Amino acid sequence: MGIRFILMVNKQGQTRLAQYFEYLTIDQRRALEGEIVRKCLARNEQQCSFVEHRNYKIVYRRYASLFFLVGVDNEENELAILEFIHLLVETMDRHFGNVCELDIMFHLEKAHFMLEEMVMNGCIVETSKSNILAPIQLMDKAS
Amino acid sequence: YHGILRKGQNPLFAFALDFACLCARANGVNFKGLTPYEKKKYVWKMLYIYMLGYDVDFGHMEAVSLISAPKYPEKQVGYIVTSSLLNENHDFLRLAINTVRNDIVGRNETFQCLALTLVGNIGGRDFAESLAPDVQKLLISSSCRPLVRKKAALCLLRLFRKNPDVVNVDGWSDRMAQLLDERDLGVLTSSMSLFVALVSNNHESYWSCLPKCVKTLERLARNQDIPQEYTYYGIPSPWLQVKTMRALQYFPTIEDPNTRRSLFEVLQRVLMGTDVVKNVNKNNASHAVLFEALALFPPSNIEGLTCIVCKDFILVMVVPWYVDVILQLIDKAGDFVSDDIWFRVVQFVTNNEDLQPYAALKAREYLDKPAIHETMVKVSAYLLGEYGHLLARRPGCSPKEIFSIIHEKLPTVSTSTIPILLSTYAKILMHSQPPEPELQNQIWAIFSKYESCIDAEIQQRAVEYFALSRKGEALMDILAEMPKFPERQDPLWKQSSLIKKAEDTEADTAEQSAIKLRAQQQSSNALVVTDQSPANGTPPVSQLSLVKMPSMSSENHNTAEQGVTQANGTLSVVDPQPSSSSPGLLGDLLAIEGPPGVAVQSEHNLVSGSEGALDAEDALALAPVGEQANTVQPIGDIAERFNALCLKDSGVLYEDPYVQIGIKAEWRAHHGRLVLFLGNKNTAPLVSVQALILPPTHLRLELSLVPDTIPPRAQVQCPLEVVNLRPSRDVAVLDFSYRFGTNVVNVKLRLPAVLNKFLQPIPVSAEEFFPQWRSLSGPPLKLQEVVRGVRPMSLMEMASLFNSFRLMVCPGLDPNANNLVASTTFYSESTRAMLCLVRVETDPADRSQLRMTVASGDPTLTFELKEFIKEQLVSIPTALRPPVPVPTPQAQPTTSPAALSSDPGAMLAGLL
Repeated sequence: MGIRFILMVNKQGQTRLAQYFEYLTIDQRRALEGEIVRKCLARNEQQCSFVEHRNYKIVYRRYASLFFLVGVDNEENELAILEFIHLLVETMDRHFGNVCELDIMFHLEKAHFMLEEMVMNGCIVETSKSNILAPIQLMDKAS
Repeated sequence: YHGILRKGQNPLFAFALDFACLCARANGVNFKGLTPYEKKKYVWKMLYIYMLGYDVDFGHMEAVSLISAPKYPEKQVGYIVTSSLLNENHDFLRLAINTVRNDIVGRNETFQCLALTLVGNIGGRDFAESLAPDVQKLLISSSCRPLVRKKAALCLLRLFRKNPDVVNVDGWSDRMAQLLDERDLGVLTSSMSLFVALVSNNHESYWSCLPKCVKTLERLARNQDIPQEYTYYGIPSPWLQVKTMRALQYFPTIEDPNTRRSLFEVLQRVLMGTDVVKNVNKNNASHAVLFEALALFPPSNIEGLTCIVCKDFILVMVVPWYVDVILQLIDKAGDFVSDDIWFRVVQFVTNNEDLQPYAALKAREYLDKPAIHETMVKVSAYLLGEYGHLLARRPGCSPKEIFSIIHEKLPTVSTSTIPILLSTYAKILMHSQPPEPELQNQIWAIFSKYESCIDAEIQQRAVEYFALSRKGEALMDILAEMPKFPERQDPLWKQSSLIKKAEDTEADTAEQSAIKLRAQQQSSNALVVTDQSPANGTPPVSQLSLVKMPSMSSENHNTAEQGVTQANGTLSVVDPQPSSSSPGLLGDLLAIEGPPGVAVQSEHNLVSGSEGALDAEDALALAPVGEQANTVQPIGDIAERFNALCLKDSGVLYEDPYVQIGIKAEWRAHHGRLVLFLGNKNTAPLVSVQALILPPTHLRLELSLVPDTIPPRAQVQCPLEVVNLRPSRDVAVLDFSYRFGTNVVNVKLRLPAVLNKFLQPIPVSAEEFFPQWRSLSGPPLKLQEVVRGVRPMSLMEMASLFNSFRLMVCPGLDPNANNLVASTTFYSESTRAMLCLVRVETDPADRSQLRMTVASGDPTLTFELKEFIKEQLVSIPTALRPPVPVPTPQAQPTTSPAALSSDPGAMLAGLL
C-alpha cells in the first residue's frame, strides 16, 4: 500500500514536478512518464480518474491546464488518493493564493517542500494544511 | 550558451556549461567558492533538469555536500535534492551517513526532520542497522514534538522494510499499542502506516493493538477531539480512517465481543452516514471510507446481522448506480457476466419499487440497439415483462411495441433464453387486460407453436401459458408480480464481494465457495409457492415449485440458472420432492412444504397438531366466530411462537392445517417493517380472508391490502409498517380470519412488535455511565423496585437474557460481581433516541429476588422498561406452561386470570 510517484504535467505534456518514491533510472522514468502522459491526457472528462498502467494504478485529476498524476500500487484506496490530490492542491492554493502552473514552475522548491511534508516514502504523513505549511512559512519569514 | 538554449538544444548541455563557468568564475574550481544562494540555485536547477528527463551525472557530490551545511536553507536543499537524485545504493550517500546520524541525534528538531525524511525516503540497509535504535527512541520519546515523531514513524517503516529485524516484535507490540493512543493526528497517521506494515507481516503479535485501532476509528467516526484542520469537507481525516480500516483487515477475526461491537457500531455509522451529496470532494472522501468499511465486512469478520442494517442503505444509494453499471457491463462484455450477476440485478430491482420504472426504461433502451448480448436479452425481457407496464405512457412502450421488439430477438437466442421470453409474453398479456385481440392472437400463436417444442422446459411453459392465458382475468392472480426476494442474505456482502471482484477476479472461486458455505449456514429459505388449479384439464405432475434464490441456496447453487428460470416463470416444476430440502434449511419456514398431512407432522412442530397439547392461552386466542364452532386447531404453540418471535425477526407466527402465517421483520430506530406471509397449504382456495390489525395506541400500524382469496398453495405477502410513537408494553393484535370449506377460522394473534424491538444495544464506558446515572437522580426518571419470584437463573443466564432483549450488559462497571449493569437506546417518535440504563443487584443467597433500578430521560419509558424487564425475569414463557388437554372449541375467555397474569399481551388477545 502506498504512493509510488507523483507527477504534475501540463496540457502540453511537460513535466512540472516529479517525485518518485521508488528508484527508477532516468530512462525508465522517461519511458514511464511518456506512456502515462499519453494515456491520461487523451482521456476525456467523462472517463474514470483511475487508469491501470503496468503494475500501477494511476489516479489523476486535472486542474485547469495542469494534470496531477499519482501512481499507486494495487492495494491503495483510489478515492482516498484522489482526494489527497485535492488536498495537495488546496494546500498549494492556501500558500500561493490561486495557485497556477507558473507558481509551481517558479517555486519548484516550495512545491517540493510541501510534498515532503505531506508524503514520505509513499505514505501520507500529514493532512493538516497549517502543519504542512508551517515550515515553509517559517522560512519565508526568516528570509 | 544562451544561444544554444534558445535554439532548443539540450538544456543540460547549456546548464553544464553554465555550471562550469560559474565554478570557474568563483575560481575555487569547486562548488565551495559559490555563495550559498548560488549553490542552492544550481542544485535546484540540477533537479529541474533531472526532472525534465536528462541524466544529470555531475553535481551529485555538491548536493550531498550541502547536507552538512550549517544553515537550515542550504541543508534543506541538500537533503531534498539528494533524496530526489540519489538512490539507496549510491556511493555518495554513504559519505553522508555520519552527518545524517548527527542530525538525527542532534537537538535541532528541524534538522532531525530533514534527516529522518531523507532516511525515510532513500535509506538502505546500512542505515537500517546503524540508525534504527535512534529512530525508535525518537518515535516513542515523550519529549519529542509531533513534527519529529511523525517522520520518525515513517522512517522506521522504511528501515523495517529494508531489514525487518530492526523491529523486535516482542518489544514493539506494546510500544505500538502505546503509539496508537496518540492524540496528534499527524503522528497517528504515520504510525498507522507503520502499523499496517507491521501487521501485514505478522498480525498475531499485534493483537493488543486491535482495540486501539477500533478506538481510533471510534474517535474519528464520532468526531471526538478532532481538530478542525484534520477534517476534510466535514469528514474527520478520511485518510486516517482508511488506513485504520486497512490495518483491521489484517486481523482475521475479532474475538473480544466489546471490541467487535464497537467496530460494528463504527461501521454502521459509516454506512448509515454516507450519503450522496453535491460536493464531489466530500462524496469521494466519504466513499473512500465507505469502501474500506465494506471491505471489512466479509462474514469472517462480523456476523451477518450487520447486513440487515446496511440493506436499506445499499438500496437507497448504490442500487441505481449498480443497476446502471451492471447493465453496461452486460452490454459491453456480456460473455464475461455470469448468470448470478444478472439475477442480482433482477433481485435488486424487484425489491426496490422506485427503481422499477427506471430499470424497465433502461432495458427498453438497450433493446433498441441493433445487436445485443443474449444476457442482455434475458435481463431486458425479464424486466420488461415484470415492469414494462409501468412505462405504458411513454412512446414506443405500449404492450404491443414492447412485445414486438422482444420478439425480434427470439430467433437469435438459445433455448435457455426462450423460456424467459415466453414468460415475458405471458406477463405482457397479463398486464394488458383486456388484451388487444391482435396482440393476444400473436402471442397465442407463439405459444401454440412451442407447444410441440422438443425442449421440455419450453414446451411446458408454452402449454401452461397458453392454457392460463385463456382464462383471462384469472391470469392476473397467477402471474402477479414476483414478490420481493428475501433479503436476509445480505446484499451488502455480495456487494462488497463484487467490488472486490473488480480488483481480483481470481478470488472468484474462493468467493463462490464462501457463498456456498454461507448459504449452508443460513436457514433462510424463503419459498414462493404457487399452484395451478387443475381446472384447465392439464394438471402437470407436480405443480409445487420451490423458487429459491440461486445464490442463496446451497442445494441449488449449481443449478442457479434453473432457479431463476423458475423465478421468472413461477409455474414450472422444479423440485418434485420438496422434502428433499434438509431439515436445517426448513428451520424458520417462511414456507409451506408438502401437502397438509405432511405439514402437520413436519419436524419443527414439537407439539403435533393432531394430539394438540394446547394451553389455555392458545385456546383463548382461538375465539369462536358466530355460531360456527372453531374446529380447526392450530399446530404448535402460539404463545411459544410469539415468544420466540420477540427474540428473533423471522419465523412462523401461526399455523394450522390450512394456513401458515410467517413473519419477517426488520427494525430500525423507531420504524419497523414486518412482512406477513400468508400461505395456503391446500389444494383449494382459502376465501373470505381478512386480516385486521388492532393497534395499541402507542404504535402506528399500516397493513397493506390483504387479498380476499388466497389461491391454492399460494403464498401472499402483506407488508406491515410499524412506527413506535411512545414507550409502551402493549401489544398489537392481528385479527385473522378465513373460511375453508365450511370451517370459519378466526384467530387473534399477538404481533411481535414489542418494546424490545425498538431497543438498540449500546455499550457505555464507565466515564459515560456514571455521570448519566448520577444525573438521573430519582423518580420518575429513575425507578427502583425489589422484584420477587424471579425464576432461578445464574447471572450468566440473566446476562444473556438481557442481551437477547437488546439490553447490552456492560461488564466491569459495577464492582460487585453479583450485580449487572446494562445499557440500551430506546427509539420512539416522542422520545427519539433515549439512553436507558439498568442496574440489577442480585443476592447470591436468594436467587428468587433482586433489586432492579432503571433510569432513562423519560418517565414513561423508565416505567415501561422496568415493567418489561420484570416480566421477562418473572415469567418463564416456556417452562411454566404445563401441557393441558385440548380445550373445547368454545373455550370462553374466562379461564383463571392467574394463568394470564404473566402475560398481558395474551390477556389482551383473549379479551378482544
